[in-house]
Amino acid sequence: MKRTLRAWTGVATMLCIAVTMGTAQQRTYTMKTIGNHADEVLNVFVNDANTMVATCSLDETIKLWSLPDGKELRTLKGHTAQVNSVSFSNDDKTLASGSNDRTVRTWNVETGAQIGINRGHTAEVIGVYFNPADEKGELLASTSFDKTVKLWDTKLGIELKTLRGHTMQTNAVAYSYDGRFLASCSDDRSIQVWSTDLAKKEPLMTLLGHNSPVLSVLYSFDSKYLASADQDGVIKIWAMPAGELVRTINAHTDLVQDVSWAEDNKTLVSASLDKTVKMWDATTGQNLLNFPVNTEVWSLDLTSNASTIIIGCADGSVRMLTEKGNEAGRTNQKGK
Amino acid sequence: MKTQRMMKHALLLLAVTTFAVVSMSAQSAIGTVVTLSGYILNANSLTPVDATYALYDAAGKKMGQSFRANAKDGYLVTGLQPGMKYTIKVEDPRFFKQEFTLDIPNTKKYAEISKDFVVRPLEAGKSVAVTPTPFDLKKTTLKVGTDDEIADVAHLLVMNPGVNVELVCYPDEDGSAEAAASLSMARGNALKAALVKAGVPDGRVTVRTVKGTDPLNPPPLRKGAKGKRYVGPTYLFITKV
Repeated sequence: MKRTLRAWTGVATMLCIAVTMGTAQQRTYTMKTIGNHADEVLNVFVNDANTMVATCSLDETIKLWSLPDGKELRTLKGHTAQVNSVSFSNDDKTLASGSNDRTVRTWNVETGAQIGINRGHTAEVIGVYFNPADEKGELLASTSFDKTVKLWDTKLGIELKTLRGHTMQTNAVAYSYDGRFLASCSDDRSIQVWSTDLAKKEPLMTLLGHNSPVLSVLYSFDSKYLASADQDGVIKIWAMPAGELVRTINAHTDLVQDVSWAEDNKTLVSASLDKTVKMWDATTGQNLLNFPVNTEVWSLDLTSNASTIIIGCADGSVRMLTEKGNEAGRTNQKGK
Repeated sequence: MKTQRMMKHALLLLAVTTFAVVSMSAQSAIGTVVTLSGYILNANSLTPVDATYALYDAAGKKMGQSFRANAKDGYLVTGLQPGMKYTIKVEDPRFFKQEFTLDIPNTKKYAEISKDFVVRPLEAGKSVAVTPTPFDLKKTTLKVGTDDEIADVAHLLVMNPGVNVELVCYPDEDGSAEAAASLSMARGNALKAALVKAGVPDGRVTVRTVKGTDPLNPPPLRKGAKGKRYVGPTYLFITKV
């Protein structure tokens, strides 16, 4: 009897574990390669309408691909060094890029023509980000290894403001979706939050908590959360605008270069050099997906409902992860 | 009696005038000098060295004797005049001849300024690293923004006409020997072309290709973050002094 009871207890325990695992691994994706750059793909950005994705590479080019079919549309050439970052404007008509050639360039998405070259940074430009709240699609932030964040009017081609506060190289910059704030992260292990009010030059707050260089920052669509990721593979979720640390996720075993939110403001995906793509419920820290890729993943972005994830890989491939049941490709609103 | 009083007044006036003139000249002599402190550092080790140097004014006239840098207290020279330009020339056979320009700020008070100078050891068979590395990851064209750095290297070679160098550019990652040699040669040729364009005679610079990563400064086991990856170092290997 005692032995039978123990056996039933064991079965019950196994069932509990199985149910827990089933809950944790809620989403299933299939992967296909949609094309290649000649060298490592460093950044991926899906446009607001979910109809196009831009990728940039160590091969000094930018490529545009259609969604959901993943067809290569055109290659943008002009930078004279590796292109580190790309961003679509709010109206999806303009693309910005930042490069090791120290320039920020803007491109006409429709024609692929280069619109402007913005010079001002004194070191490699590592991040660019259009203001999602700017309906004209003209206001852009960029950040560089020169430790500054610069705000540009891309239509006039002028530098509006330079933000100085980080003590070491900065790695990424992101606007809040309401356009009121800007976050930047740095090798100095801090995140600085800035007002987009041109009269203010000091950071509104400095978020501390990471124990290694912070490589990525991104606001959720409702601007209530900020996700940050670091060189140790740790992701932190901050409640904004208060700047309170909500959650720490020991997400990856190698550095996390990019994160992206889904439109539900709780689903977060992360790309790492540990050769995995992971998905998280940011409200609970629960792991929703652990997708192995056979190469390092530098960057990713997703459609708003997270049914499609585009990843940029160290082997030069651009790959599409499609959720099972969504193979036809749903289009919906998004932004990065 | 009246004459005697006048002479007394005249002597007093002379004494006061003399004192004032002496005071003013003393003030100008000791009140407006600038002292320069700092170290002369070995480019390879970045440690202070006791290199010999001389100071020249804007007209190219040598100011006094040659000096020897004090590697312990970092004192270099005093008596510099505000608003003037000077040149410090390293004149030590153990190091490349190098020049450093000094712009002294225009001040009315005694001032101390601090500046370190990096010198490159000169010994056949030894190498000097070109820093920062003038190439981007996996690239064979010179990195944007390295013009000044290349100009400095070219100037160094022009100032030391008896010195011949071999350029050695290491690849960024382990891979095939052919790919490594190809990258190494292309980088070396790009750097040599830039140096020749800047005035260094072609025959003084050769390129040596390597087939693997730098054994003394190998790539790290883990990749760095975007934009911070290891790039193979570039060296000037001194073949003739």
